[in-house]
Amino acid sequence: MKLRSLFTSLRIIRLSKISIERTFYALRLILSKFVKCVASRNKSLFLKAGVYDFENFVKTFTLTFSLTLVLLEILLYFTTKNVFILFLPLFTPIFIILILKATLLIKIHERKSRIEINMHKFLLVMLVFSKARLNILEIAKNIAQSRIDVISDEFVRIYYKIKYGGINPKAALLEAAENSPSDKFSDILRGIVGLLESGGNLSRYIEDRLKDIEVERKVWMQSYLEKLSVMLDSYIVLAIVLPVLLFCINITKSVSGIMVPFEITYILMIIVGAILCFALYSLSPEKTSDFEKIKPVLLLVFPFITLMINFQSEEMKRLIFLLFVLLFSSISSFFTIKSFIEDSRISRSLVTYISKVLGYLEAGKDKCIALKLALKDESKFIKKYLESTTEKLRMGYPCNKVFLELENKSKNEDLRILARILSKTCIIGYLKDVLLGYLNEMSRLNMFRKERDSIIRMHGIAMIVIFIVFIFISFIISSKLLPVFERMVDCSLFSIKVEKIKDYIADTIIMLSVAISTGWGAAKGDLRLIPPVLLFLSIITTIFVCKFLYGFI
Amino acid sequence: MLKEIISTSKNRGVSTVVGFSIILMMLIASYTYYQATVIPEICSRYELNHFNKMVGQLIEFLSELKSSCSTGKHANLKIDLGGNYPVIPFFSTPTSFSSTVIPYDGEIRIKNALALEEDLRKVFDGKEVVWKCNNLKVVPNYLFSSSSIIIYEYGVVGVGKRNYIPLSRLIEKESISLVLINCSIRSISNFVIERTLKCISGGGHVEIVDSGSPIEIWIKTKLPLDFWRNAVDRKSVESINKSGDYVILKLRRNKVYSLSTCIFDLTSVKQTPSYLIRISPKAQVSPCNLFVKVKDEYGNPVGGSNVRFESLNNSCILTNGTSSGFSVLAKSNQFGIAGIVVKECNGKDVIVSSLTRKDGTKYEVTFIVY
Repeated sequence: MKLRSLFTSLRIIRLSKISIERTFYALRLILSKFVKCVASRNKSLFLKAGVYDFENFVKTFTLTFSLTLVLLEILLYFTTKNVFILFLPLFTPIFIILILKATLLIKIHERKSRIEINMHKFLLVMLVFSKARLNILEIAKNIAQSRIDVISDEFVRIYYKIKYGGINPKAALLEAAENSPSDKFSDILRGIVGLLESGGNLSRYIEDRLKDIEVERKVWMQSYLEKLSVMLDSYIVLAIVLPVLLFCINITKSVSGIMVPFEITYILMIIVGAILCFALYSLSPEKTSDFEKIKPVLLLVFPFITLMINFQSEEMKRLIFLLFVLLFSSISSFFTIKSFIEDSRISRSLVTYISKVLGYLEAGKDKCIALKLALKDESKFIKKYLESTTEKLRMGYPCNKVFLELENKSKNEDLRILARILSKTCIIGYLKDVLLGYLNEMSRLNMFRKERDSIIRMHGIAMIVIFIVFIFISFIISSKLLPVFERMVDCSLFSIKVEKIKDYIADTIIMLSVAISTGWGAAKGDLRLIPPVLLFLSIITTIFVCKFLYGFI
Repeated sequence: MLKEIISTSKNRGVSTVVGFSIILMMLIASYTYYQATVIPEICSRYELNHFNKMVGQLIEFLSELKSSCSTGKHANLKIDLGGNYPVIPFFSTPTSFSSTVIPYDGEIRIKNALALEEDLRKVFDGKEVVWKCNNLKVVPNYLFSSSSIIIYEYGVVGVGKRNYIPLSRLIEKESISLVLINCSIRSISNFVIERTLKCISGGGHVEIVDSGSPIEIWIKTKLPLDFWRNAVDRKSVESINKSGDYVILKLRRNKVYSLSTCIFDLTSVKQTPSYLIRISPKAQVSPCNLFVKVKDEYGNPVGGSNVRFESLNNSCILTNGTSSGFSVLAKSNQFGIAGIVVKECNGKDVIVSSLTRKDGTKYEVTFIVY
């Protein structure tokens, strides 16, 4: 009998093993079919998004998201105990397709904006190469080496297709045009193909396109400024004024014993603030892409860790948090403010410097002398980088190496781009053309920056005014209304403790100062602005919270 | 930086939305300021009116207590404990406020007091008399004003927060007037509290003198010393000191003080008789009237008490109007007076009038009749 039951159990195990294997096999089959189907149907989207190994991408994406979704569904089921949630896994493929498409569209949009931002630099470099009458393979190679962000990557692919793929240059350019997310870039590539076919003047064509792009950029910058103004208006209203309004209404309504949970205000503040900050930052045409520069800003994450730790009291928690914010924003400001000032000074004086160089070149001076003479009355920031460069040029060092060195040495993005363009073009010549083109762009950029800074500054001042008014409101509430709440609690007319209201006031001020500093930094597209603004606001916050709210001082 | 800001602000004004936001913030600030400062002022005015009303009601109650003391009528306690805050459009105000009536123990000790009447010297024997009662504290639960409280102690009303002002006096010239409440009145509400207090002892007074040392009145109180300084006549009081929970009033010597005490309770259970005082002369010739006054422990007359008159040698015939004999019962009237007539006596006899106290002991007063 025993032997028989043993055999039966062994058989069951074998059968179950087979069924598990079969299930896995079926799942793998379904997955591969799904991946192939999704990949083949969205091929053009993948290519535009810059995803070339799309089957692998879809597979990784599907596995990651299906696992996350299943985990979320399980979590949701155990928290809500809703039976309908158990049917949600059936909709997982639909979710995956939707999220995948959204991800691809975001990637396409990002690539498109990156291409269009760098379009002017590309055309400027292209102009020099076309004037030098280089062939298309050489041009592609040089642009690929020019490190013009995504455009260089595109040209790397074009170069490899022509050189090693054995593809006709026109076909390679047309394929790149087909798969490019930017219509403007595609048009330029198609135009080049047309010129190659008809044997037209490439440099003339590029010059015309450069002019078009300059006009387009001017219009685009103007429209961005309008957008920025609207976005900042929305940010002020939705992320700053509205939560403050809700807070005040909530507090004053509490006098009649009704208390709306403050968490609603906070959730609104965080969600709206985060969305608008993200939108402001991502829309900004000049984002601080240099991680080294924004690394000190990451120090500001540390104070938020203190919020996870349990202290003796909530008051102590907030005090420690504020002290940490003060400490880390001071350290962070110390590191960022220097590079920020240097950056802005170099960018500002670069225009006058280039125009002076151009003036000397027009006067027939040698490029080394022109570069050196123009440096004479410039600020110490620009001299720091350019003095050794001009000296090396004068001593006869190869100009491409000198400018490459300048690019590596310089921390200012404008100077780096100029050095990058010059390092690729100086050997060919046409320095005047390059500088003139770059001067136009820089002048435009400077005008744009001034206008943008003015908008941001005015909005920033408005935000600080609102912050100070809110501090005044909080002072009135803490001095006049809190004693009323205390008596209401004594008379059992109010269920929330007064200490809790104090915490709410402190939290709102802290969140407001974080929202203002983040909004300011995001609008400027320069996260380095966050620490000094936060430092200024947190000093006021700490004084208010410690002296008037908790009475520590 | 500042220069830059000023120069740019000259060229660029704020956008309509930002301008609106700043104006909105100013409006919010003004709204909050109004809500936090003006609305509390308006509400505190309501609270002040209510407090004054309560003080008036308590003074009225005190005067009613004092008049009931002599008339024997009931005294009505009526205090409006709560009220509603005004409804102000667009602003928030709490709906109502309430007050709390808290009773607390009171105790009064009279030391070194000697009754002028000989029969009462068993009570006021120059040692110590201890009376216990309840005092009242009315605490308004106001939200907008740090309100004062009203305290009722031993027939004195005090109003204040730290420094209380007496609205009546405990000692006026040589008259000490105590109005004691024996019941516990407790309430917390925003309605009107109404209670009817019955005078269970009152209408009498005891004349006391010092027994060599000055009379001391120890008052267990929650009111400060300054309050009591103003609540007594300084011509009668030599010194006022505080010892623990008690305020000690030392009365001037060689003066006769009239001590009148009234006791009120929610029930109409009268005080039990404790003492008898001879009204008619001790030695008389028959036929004659013998009158005694029945008094309780506070020296107030007790009506409806049975007093037995007994001829000790069975030589006097006594009558109460309905029956005659060597021993008759007489009932005290509303003034506490009980009396009999001695019809005739065969020689000298001692007539003993006696009453039975609450604890079963007897209190006797004797007459000599020939």
